[in-house]
Amino acid sequence: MADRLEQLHRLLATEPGDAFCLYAMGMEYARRGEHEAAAAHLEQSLMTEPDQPYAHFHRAQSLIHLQRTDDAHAAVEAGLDVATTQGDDKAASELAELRASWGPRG
Amino acid sequence: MIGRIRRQDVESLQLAVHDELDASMLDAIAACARRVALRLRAIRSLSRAAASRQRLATRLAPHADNFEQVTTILDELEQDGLLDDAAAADQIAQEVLRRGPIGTYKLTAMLRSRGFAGDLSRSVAAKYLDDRDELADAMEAAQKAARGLDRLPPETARRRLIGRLARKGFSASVVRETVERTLSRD
Repeated sequence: MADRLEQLHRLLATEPGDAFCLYAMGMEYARRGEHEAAAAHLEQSLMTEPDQPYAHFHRAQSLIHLQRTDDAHAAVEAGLDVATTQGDDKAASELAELRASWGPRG
Repeated sequence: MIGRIRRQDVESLQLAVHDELDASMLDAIAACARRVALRLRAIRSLSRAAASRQRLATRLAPHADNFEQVTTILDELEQDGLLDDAAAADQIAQEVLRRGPIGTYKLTAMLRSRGFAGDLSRSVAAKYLDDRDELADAMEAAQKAARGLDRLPPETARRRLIGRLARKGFSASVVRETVERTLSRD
C-alpha cells in the first residue's frame, strides 16, 4: 500500500508546480524530520504562491532545524509581511511567537 | 491556475484549427474548465489529507455541475491510483494511533465516520490493534486521563476515568481492570 509520501508524490506528478501539493509535501517531510526536503518543497510552493503565511512559518521552522538561522529569520519576516497585508492576525501572532521563541539575534 | 488540461479533455472538445468558435463550443470549453477545476480541487483536497471516496465526494459536490461529474472525477482518480480507500484508511489509522492509544471500537467508529465502509474500517482497526496489548494501551491512556482526578472524591474520579477510557473505545473489562489498577495505586 502506498504510504502518505508516495501518495503525495503521485498527486504532485499530476499537478506539477501546484502550490497546495508542494505545501502538503513540505509538511509531510517536516513531520518526518526531513527538514532539508521540507524547506525545499515549501520554498517551491512559495515561488508559485508567495502569499501563504503558514508556508513561511513552516519553512522557517525547518530552516531553524537546519541551523540556517538567518534564512529562518528572513522567512518569518516574509511571513509577517504577508500575514499583515492579508489581515491574518492569527498567522501574524503565530509568526511573532515563533520569532520570539528563538530569542534575540546575536 | 484553474487546473491542467489532460488528453481526454482535449479529445472531448474535438477542436481543430479553423473551427468556428460558436456558442455551443464556448459552452463545451466552459464545461471542460469546470471539470478541470473540480479535478484540481480534488487533488488539493487529497494533498491536504487522506480521504475516503465518500468524504471526497461530499467535498466536491457543492462545486460540481452534477453528481455524475463528481463520479467521473472520482473514478479517474481511482484509476490513476490517487484515490484508494484501503490506503487512505490505513494512513488515517496510523495518524490516529500516533496521537495516542485508543481501543478497537473507537478506531473503527472514527474510520466509519470518515466515510470508509464498515468492513474496511473493522479490518484496518483489527490490523493495527488485534496484536496489541489492550490492557497496556489502556493503562497508558489512563495515566494521561487520570491527571487532575486525584483532587476529586474517589467515586467521582472513578466515574470520570471510566468515562474517559470508554470514550477511547477500550472494552468494558479492560476499562474496569485499568481503573482498578490506576486508582488503587494512588
